[in-house]
Amino acid sequence: MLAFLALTLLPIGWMVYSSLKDSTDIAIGKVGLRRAGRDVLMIVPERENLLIFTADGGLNRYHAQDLSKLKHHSLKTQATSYLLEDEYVWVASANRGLVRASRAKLALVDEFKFPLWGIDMNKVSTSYIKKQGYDIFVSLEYKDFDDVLRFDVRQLKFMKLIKGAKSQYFPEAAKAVIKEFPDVEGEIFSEARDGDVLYMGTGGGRLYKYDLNSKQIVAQALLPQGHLLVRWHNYIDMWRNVNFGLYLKNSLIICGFTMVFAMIFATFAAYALSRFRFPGADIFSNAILATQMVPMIMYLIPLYIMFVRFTIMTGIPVKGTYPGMILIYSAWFLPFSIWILRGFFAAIPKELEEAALIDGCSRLRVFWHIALPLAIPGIIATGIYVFLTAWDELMFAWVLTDADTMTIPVGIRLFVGNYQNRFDLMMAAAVVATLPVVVLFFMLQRHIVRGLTAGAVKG
Amino acid sequence: MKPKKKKLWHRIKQDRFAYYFILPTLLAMLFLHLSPIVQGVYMSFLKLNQFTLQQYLLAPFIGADNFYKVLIDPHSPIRIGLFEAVRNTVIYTIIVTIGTLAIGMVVALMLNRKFFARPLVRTLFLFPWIVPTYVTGLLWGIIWLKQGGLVNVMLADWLKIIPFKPSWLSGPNTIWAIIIPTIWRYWPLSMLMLLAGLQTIPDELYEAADIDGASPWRKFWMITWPMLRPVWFILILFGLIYNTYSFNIVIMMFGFGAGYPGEWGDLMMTNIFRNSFQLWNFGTGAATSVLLLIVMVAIVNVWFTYFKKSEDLR
Repeated sequence: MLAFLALTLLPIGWMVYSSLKDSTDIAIGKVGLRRAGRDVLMIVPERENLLIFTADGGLNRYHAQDLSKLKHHSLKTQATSYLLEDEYVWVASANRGLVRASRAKLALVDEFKFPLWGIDMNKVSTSYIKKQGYDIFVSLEYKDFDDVLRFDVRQLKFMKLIKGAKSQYFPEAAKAVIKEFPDVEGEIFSEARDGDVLYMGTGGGRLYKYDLNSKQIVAQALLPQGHLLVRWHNYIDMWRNVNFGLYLKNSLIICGFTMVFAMIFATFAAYALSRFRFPGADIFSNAILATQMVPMIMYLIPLYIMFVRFTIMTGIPVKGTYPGMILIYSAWFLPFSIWILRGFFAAIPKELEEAALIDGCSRLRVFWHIALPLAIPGIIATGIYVFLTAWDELMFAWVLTDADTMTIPVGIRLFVGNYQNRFDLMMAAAVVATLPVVVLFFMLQRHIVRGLTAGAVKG
Repeated sequence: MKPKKKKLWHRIKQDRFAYYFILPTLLAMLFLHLSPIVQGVYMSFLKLNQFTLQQYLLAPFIGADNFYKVLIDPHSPIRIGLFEAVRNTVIYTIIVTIGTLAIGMVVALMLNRKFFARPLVRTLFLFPWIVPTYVTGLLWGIIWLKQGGLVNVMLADWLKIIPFKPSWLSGPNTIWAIIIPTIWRYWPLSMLMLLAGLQTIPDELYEAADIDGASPWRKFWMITWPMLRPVWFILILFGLIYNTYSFNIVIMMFGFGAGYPGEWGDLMMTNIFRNSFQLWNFGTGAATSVLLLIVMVAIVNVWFTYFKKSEDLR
């Protein structure tokens, strides 16, 4: 049974896992997470030691004699670039912004987020950093990003963005120099000369010590592996890539009001049906059941044309507005709500109300003060169920909403389409869309389960 | 005659309170349920497409021409598409209904014993049912991907059961690609209902059967299954209705909400939706949904009659 449980939960785990991966990795079927590249970006001789900085944010201190490791600390950054000072190491990175680390201890001191909005940080390929006077200038390699960030070292804060100045501050940005060397594996990313010795760092994270006199490699080392690239940033990018915040808001508004209205009307109707044997009650309750048999699309086609025609005739917009959607949803979920609530009312003993009537209470007072308080748990459970079902509704929303009132099911489709294939963001959005449902359901699990199963068991 | 009428009027007057209470619902039912259905039926006799949409109910009346196009006309592309949709829907509905019931039954029986952390396990089993259907569609769209999908990676790369990576979202495999996610999404509901039903069966029945030396298999078919009758009656009924009208999972899986499910993945709902809102043939769309409604009413009636009859026999 546990094996079956694992198999059942596997797709959900896959959803969460995919939301932390790279979009291309999902498409090509790379199951494991990628590791950050450990390209050696900078080698600095420091008396008898070497300082080595790698692309994954690795700060290393190696012994210069035999290239043995003395200290390693990883900042876990992406698209890293380094600026070395006497006391500090400044690190510009896509995911953590500007980081200041202590040169002596090779440990994080503080970090400053870039004042940038709307940049997909997973897609930044390189960053640039340089210092002039008391200012540090940073720029990024990303689509047509052409600006430079200015950071004031004395005030420790970012100043105004310098627009379109990337080529001016970083003329080397356009050039890429690939160097190779005999006996060295991979491309050389960085080199440093110290007397008769040449140190070289390569793309794969290898470090070589080359003696210029004897013309041979005297020592080599492999730097520690980069960190796993868990793309937490997908959960931030999904709000920027498409306007997911708007869809979430629309869904909350439409589903929330639907729940309230459907519950108000359904409570009245269900109470009437469970307490009165009025003429027409049978027809009414059969009609409620019969609506469940009618395909949704049969309503949708006339409703769509009615909405369009109504706007043409009166000038009042209905299609693509909150009231229009709430009206349709409330009406659509009414029959089901009445049916469930009727069961809850039927379970409340009648004697209490009869006694109150004999004492001279009006019908309305009996309903308001006796029946309603007893039915509140049932009403809440049914309301939550209506909310969850409305949250899940696609067909009406697809046709009857527009760009401003799109709900999540309609809007989530925009992550994958003609212009982009962002499986990772889509899965992150799917997780976010599922979370409220999970929370609501588990908060009220007992009530919902009881409400649903009561009818079936009784027959 | 007269006294009876008076009596009816008296009763209406006496229960006027109930009428006030159902009035808003009644209005909603009239304007947003009955009126669209009536219009829908009428529309199925109209030539209603993007050119005549402005005239709406005054669009040219063409009698049963829409039905002819949908059912009989051998040259109509709609009829060919509809044939595939009907075939897929029948296969899909039957397999999904039986599958959810069977898996739900097995798991409900397993969960009906006492063991460590039973409430937790039951809650975890409910998880697929909580995931919204459109998320289910998108998620399984990723799981069925040819290159990177979990299914192909598991079968071909890890377990090495199949030598190549088949394409699940095109060709005849599609029918399985839509059946399995639907069963995955809905069996916990069956399990929940059946479990609630199982807990109402008195233990004495099983004790008596134990004394008679009945096998577990026999006990299931002679006690459990008949006692769960009201539960599986409802489950099959709603399974038939909802699976025939299934839309979200299928439409979201193919092209992630933009594509055509293909000749082995197209269902009634996706077919009518595409005809109506992408090809703008509202007339034939309405005609198809009227036919679908008639078939559905017939099926539900047959099921109710069968149930009543076998109930009387008992």
